[in-house]
Amino acid sequence: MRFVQPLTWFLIIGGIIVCGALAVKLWREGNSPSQIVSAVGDVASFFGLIIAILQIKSVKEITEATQRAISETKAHLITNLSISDLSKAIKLIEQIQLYLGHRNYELADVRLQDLRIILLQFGGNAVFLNYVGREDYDSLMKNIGIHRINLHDAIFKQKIINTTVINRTLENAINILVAVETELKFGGGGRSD
Amino acid sequence: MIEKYVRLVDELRRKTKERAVSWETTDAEGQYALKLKKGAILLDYTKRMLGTEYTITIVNKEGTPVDRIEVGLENSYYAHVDDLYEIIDRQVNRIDEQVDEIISEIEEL
Repeated sequence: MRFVQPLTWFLIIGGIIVCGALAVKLWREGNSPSQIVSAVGDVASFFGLIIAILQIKSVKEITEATQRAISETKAHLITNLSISDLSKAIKLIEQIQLYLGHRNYELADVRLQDLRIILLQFGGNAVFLNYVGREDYDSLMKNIGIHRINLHDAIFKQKIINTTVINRTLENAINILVAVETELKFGGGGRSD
Repeated sequence: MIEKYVRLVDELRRKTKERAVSWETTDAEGQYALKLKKGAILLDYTKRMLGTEYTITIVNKEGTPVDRIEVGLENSYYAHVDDLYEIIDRQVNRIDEQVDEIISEIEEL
C-alpha cells in the first residue's frame, strides 16, 4: 500500500464519490438499474485507467531508483575493497623492506610478486589509475619487474644487488598507495606532487 | 643470436650514440635499463672464466620479463653488444664529459 501515491488515493476516493453521486442522480431521475450500472461502470473505468497509468509510472520510478541504489552500493563496495587492498599492499611493502634488510631475498622476492599482483589488479581500477596517472603506474610496474628479475638473479646466480634502489622504488610505491588510500577515505584534491 | 635481436642491438647502438635514448642504472651491479613506453630493456654483464657474458632482458610494460638472451664470446654478435655496453657505460657515467673537463683544465694551465 505504501507504493500508492497520494494522487492515486485522491483519484480512488474521488472516483468512488463521483460514481456514488452519479448512481444516486440516475436513480432519482428514474433510470433503470442496468442503465445506472452501465453509466457508473463507464465513469469507474475512466478513473481506473488514469489510476493504472499513474501506478505504472510510479512502479517504473521505483524500479529505476532501486537500480540506481544497487549500482551505488556496488561502486561503494568496490571502493571499500580497494581500500582494504591498499592497506594490504602497504603492509606487503613493509615486509619486503624488512626481508631486504635481513638479506632474505627469497622471501622478499615472494612478497614482491604478491605486491606486483595487487598492483596489477589496481591497474584495472579507474579511480586508482586516474589518481596515480598511467605513466607513473607503468614506471612503477616496470621498476618492480626489474627488481624481481635482479632479486631472482641474486638468489640463483649470486648477482650483487643494491637494496637501496629497491627501497627507493618501494618508498615511492608507499607514497602513491598512502595518497590514494587517503583520497578514497577522506576525498579532497589530487596529488600535490 | 636471432635476427630480431641483431636488429635490436644495432638500433640501440645507433640511438644511444645519437643520445636519442636515455639509459639508467638499476639495483643490479653492472646493469643498465632503458625504460620505454611499452616496456624496458635490460643489459647487464657477468664476468666468466673466459671473459664477459652479456644478458639482454626484455620486460613488458607490466614488468614481466618476456625474453632473455645471453651473448657470450662464442657469439658472432658479441662485439656489437660489447660496443653497445661500452657506449652506454660511458654515457651513464658521463665519462667523456669528465675527460673533456680534465682536458680543458689542463689546457688552461
